[in-house]
Amino acid sequence: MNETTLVLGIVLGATAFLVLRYLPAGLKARIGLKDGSACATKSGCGSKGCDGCH
Amino acid sequence: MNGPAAPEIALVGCPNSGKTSLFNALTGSRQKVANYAGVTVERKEGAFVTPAGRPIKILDLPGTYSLRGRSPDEIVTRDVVLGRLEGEEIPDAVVCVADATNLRLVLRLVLELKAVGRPMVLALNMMDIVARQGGRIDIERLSKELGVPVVETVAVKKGGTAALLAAIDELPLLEDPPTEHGWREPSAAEIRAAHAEAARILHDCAFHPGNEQFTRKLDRVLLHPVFGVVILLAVLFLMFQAVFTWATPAMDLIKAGIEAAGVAVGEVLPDGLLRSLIVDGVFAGVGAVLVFLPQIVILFFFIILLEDFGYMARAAFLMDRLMAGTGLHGRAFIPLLSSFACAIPGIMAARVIENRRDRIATILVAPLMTCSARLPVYTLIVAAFVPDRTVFGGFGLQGLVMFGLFAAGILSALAVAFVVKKIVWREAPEPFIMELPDYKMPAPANVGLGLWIRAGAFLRRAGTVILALMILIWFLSTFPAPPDGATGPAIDWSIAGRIGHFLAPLFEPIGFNWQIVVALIPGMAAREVAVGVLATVYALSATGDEVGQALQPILTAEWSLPTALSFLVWYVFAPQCLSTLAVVRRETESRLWPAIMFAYMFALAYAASFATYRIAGALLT
Amino acid sequence: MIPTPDKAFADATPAVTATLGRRARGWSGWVTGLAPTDRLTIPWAEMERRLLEMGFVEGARVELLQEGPFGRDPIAVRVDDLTVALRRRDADVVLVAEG
Repeated sequence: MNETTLVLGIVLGATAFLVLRYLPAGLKARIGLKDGSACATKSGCGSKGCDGCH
Repeated sequence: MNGPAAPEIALVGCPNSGKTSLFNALTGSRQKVANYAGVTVERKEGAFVTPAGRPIKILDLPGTYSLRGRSPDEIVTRDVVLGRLEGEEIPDAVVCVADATNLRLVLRLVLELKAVGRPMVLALNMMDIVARQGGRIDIERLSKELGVPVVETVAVKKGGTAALLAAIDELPLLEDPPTEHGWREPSAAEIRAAHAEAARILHDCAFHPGNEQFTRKLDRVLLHPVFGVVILLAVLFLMFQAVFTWATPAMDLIKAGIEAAGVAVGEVLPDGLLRSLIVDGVFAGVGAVLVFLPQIVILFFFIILLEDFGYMARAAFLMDRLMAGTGLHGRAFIPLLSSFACAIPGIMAARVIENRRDRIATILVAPLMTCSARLPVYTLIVAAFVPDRTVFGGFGLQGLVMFGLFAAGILSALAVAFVVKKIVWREAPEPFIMELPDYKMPAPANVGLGLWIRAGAFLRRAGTVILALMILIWFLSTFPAPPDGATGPAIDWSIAGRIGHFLAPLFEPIGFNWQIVVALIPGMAAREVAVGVLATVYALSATGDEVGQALQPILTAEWSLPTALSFLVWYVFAPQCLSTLAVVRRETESRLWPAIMFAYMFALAYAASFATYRIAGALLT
Repeated sequence: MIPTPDKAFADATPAVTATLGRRARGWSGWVTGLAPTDRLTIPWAEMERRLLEMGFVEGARVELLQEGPFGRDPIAVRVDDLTVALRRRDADVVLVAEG
């Protein structure tokens, strides 16, 4: 595997990750992904389902 | 039907009872957070195993003072306990958590829960505080009077839940819990009677000198019309000062570490794409964000401390008139303050507000008051442009400016709320009744756990979303490569560079250069990423001797002061990150409100930046 | 200390029954009742029950501890063993007597 392929692979992986994360909820439901609506009270913040907080 | 599946327990209690600490103590990390079907209320489920080897599911229900259900989350608590929430199993048992230092209100809740008819245990939490304050509770008598088993718990200490676990083992958990329940919505007369009964039981079974004297004395100062406000401002200022100065040694350490790592990797890898990706994209970009971990930790340290101590309610009290004058709801203020670091919990906590318009008004302005993602941006610019001096006899100028920026956010939130409530919707404010809990010494374990969770969340975010974003940014800033023989920085030919240059005229009136414009876009996904993007963009723009320089001195050299100030002001009002907009959409159940939020914040940011840039430019020339 | 419903209260006739919202800092007395009103933005039945839930029952000892910095609003009130903050406007429905 040459360098360019590796780099492009990494970039594609990152893009896929972001797309999946920010996909509108409706589409997600159709594909069957879980709705990561874990952000709620302080205790939920930071848990696995919610990283919208810091 | 619960049958062979693990029995399910509903965890109920008043707010401020330590219910969540108890839930955490029982379930550890075996927690699942989601939403109830059709309602925007958080559903927290956990699992644990009793000493007898029984697996149990437990549901942490929203805190409430009674089963009557005034706001969406109290309604959920009521419906789950009664077994009439769609899609939810009927609980096999109820564990009611009470703050043992403050039993009067919760005893009435216990009587209500008893009427429902499910097997029940009352857990008196924070018993260590009762003992420390010289109080006594006759557990056996209390149990007899109430007709339910009563146990002591100390959620924050190891082994503090042993009695509760044993009691759960002894509960008569039926195979099929009955669907009927004995609860009816109580009339005022019935509440009075229940109250009297609870008071009588309490008088007979408990003796508690309470923290009353200490709380009273302290409140005389902290709630004083003049001193109270002064102290509040002082506390806030101290917080920002600390965030800025205490964090510096740790931040320098992290910075040096990342730089060293970057250099080491750079030497190992051959010159080329991979090296650029790792050094200019990952190390420069993610590193620029990671550096702020100490600041986040210190900020949260203060927030958690103040909250556990009980001071947040006092802050809400002092600010209420201002808030009421602008139509904001007192009950929302504490979540807003507590979630000072992130708008999302504040927006979700707005659920306790029953009036829809009040709720929307609070949601619309929450992001202006809170967002710790601004911190890296503020810090970067302030460090680069504000001299490290002390003024007015001892106040660090940099900390003062930071404080001023957050104050600007809060004031603008109040102003916008005022406009919304008084001009757009004219309505009298809802009644404001809020408990001011007695002061309590914060438990180090609780504070430590809170910090651990936050730090973990920050690192996780940096390692996932921000990392992915920076990789993407790097890609967009590197391709396509410049044609042979081109002069100037390579980045100008890349996609990001082109977009930046293309949009730059739009932002030129407010003093933004094209690099800033490029940083704004991914800042939508995660605002602190703007810092990372700037780092990467400038790293990729560097030619010759400039390669490898840290970001801060570059900015000091290249940006004018009006531009820096304009950028700062932009961030005070900057339109929200996508996560927040998504949450707003879910909480308001419409696309309209997030759109309005985005639009008004963009307009505000642009106008404020414009004014700042022009005025600063005029003043400085 | 957790007080019992005051026997003295049951026997005494309150000298002046006025509202908690009009009291000044340092005042103490007890609750004699709740006055229905249409002025509020929520139904009276709801308001009454909220107040009861927070402990504003007849016979409860009440003490006005602090006032807010702007316009002496809101007020911090000790209701038996609980400290509650509420706006004077809302406190105006709580009837109290000195003592």
